[in-house]
Amino acid sequence: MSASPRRRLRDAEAVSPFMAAMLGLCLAILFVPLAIIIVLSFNASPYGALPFEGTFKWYEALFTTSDLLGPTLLSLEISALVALNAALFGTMGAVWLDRRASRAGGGLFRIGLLSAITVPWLILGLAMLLVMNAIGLGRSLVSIYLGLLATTLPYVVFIVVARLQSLDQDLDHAARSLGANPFTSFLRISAPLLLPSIISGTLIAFMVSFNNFLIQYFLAPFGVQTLPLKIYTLIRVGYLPDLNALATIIVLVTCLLIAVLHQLGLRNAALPGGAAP
Amino acid sequence: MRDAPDGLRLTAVRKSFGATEVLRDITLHVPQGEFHTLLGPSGSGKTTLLKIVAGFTPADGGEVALAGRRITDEPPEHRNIGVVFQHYALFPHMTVAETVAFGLRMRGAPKSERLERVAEILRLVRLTGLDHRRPAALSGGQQQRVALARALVIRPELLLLDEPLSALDRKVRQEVREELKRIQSETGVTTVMVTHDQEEALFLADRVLVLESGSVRQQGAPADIYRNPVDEFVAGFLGAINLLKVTVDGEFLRIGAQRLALSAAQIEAAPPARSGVMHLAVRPEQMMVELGHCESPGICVNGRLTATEFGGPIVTLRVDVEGQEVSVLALSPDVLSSDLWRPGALVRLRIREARLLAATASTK
Repeated sequence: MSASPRRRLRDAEAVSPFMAAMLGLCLAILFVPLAIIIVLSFNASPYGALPFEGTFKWYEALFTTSDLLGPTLLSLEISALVALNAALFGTMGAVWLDRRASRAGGGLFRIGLLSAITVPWLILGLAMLLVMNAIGLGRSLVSIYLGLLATTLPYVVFIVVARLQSLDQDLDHAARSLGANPFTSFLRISAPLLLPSIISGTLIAFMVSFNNFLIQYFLAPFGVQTLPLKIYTLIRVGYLPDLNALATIIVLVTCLLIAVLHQLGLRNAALPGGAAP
Repeated sequence: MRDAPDGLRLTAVRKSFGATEVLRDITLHVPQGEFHTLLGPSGSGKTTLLKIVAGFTPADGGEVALAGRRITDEPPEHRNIGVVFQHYALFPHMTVAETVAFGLRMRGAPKSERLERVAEILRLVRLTGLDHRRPAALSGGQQQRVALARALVIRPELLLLDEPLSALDRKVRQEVREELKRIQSETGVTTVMVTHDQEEALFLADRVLVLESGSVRQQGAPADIYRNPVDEFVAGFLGAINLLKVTVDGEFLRIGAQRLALSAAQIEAAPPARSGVMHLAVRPEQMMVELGHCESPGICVNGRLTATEFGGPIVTLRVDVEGQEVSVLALSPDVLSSDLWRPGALVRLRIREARLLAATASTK
């Protein structure tokens, strides 16, 4: 008699074996392929054949003979430019949304930004190509820049606006009453407090832009290949493990970025006004 | 009277949010160096008025003048007004010294002058030695002082305090309250404080303005408006008060079957109306209570004790007078010394001072 209610109590708190298994499976699907790619990048066989034989030759090849480096640099350059611009315009948009926007204007802006996240990029990319063709830009680097900026801007705006809303507006009032004009007040008071959020937003914008195969696929000029486009082509014709080496480096850099984001999140949470990403 | 161009002057200031009228034709004058308090419940418009004076919110109409200068349309950074915010609004990323120096920096003061004036003001608010702390590492009372120092260091022509004590706990609040009074009188800065706490207002202010639904109900020296409230709202807002339903009958008041001479209750000779049902407003400390019935009718009121509530130095006695409950304060030694003060005991009340107020519908 006494054992059954106790078991019930324990069940309510414990992770059920089924849930644990599901969680394990999800993590395995995520991480096992990554682990395999990392291992294969150090394997001498170009076909992933065993036995494992350690080598750095694919890394060497990546930086010497491989044709992956060009697309990688192009992707990095485009994404850096897009992320920095998204940070600038996104912060301006966030300030406008929080401090100046009318109810209707702000609502429209939010809906517009949300649609850039929720409308499938497949549709968005196709629609953008139509517009770019219509206005004479066509497939070009400018089109890629505009397309990626539009898809990354919402992330910066939403992250910064969340932080802005948690900032006491009296901070601005205090600075104003002490003699600061609106611009100085923003620069001296709000900007330093927003900085962790702006950096978070920029990093996320960078990753989204770097990853955005669909927008790049639709808007890239023929013959110009960003890294996602290059990989797509290679997958269809077969590739060498130098791609594994590149993937390993990208995974490492991503881990580093996540660590930075996490640190920034902690810094944000430590500031009065509470947590924001 | 000379028309001195001093202090703060508001003329017919109006403000509405949508259809709600928050302030209606506020006109007031705070002379140079005085400490005025805007006292009112939440929603009375007091904070909006403060924001209009500071320049954070534009008024819909009317004029704001400071030291003879019309500042109605000036942005806050051109007004030279120091503001202490309810939640202090200290800059989280700056140290105490940087925070206090901010206003001087904005005015382009050279470094040597900044250091000197920051040190001087930190001495005034007794915060020396904490210069390099950040707000998060300060207690509530210390944060309050930093906020005050930051507002005073610019030598403002007006100091605005928005519920400056409400975020502090009771004990610290009393300390800071006394500090505030000392600092205000040492600097001689014209000060306007907004509060909903009548005790704070009465303690600190040279003059109290009671606000309700956007207009000034009464203004005057604290003791004056406490003793002579113009209506039931002001009377009740400034502290506990008994409102006894009475009928005016010539030189007498009728309370149920009892009669009380106007002269016995020190009621001013000309009450607002001499007939009909009115309210006799008596503060609990303005009555003396004794055991036993009144020997000569007309000078005191009979009642029956219903409860005694012990409160340390004082005891609150609840007395039933002709079906109406009256609260009376007595010193606790007087009541505790005898066991005759039991519920049901017959008592007599002598009224030292009272006022007759028009009975409003809100209080039956």
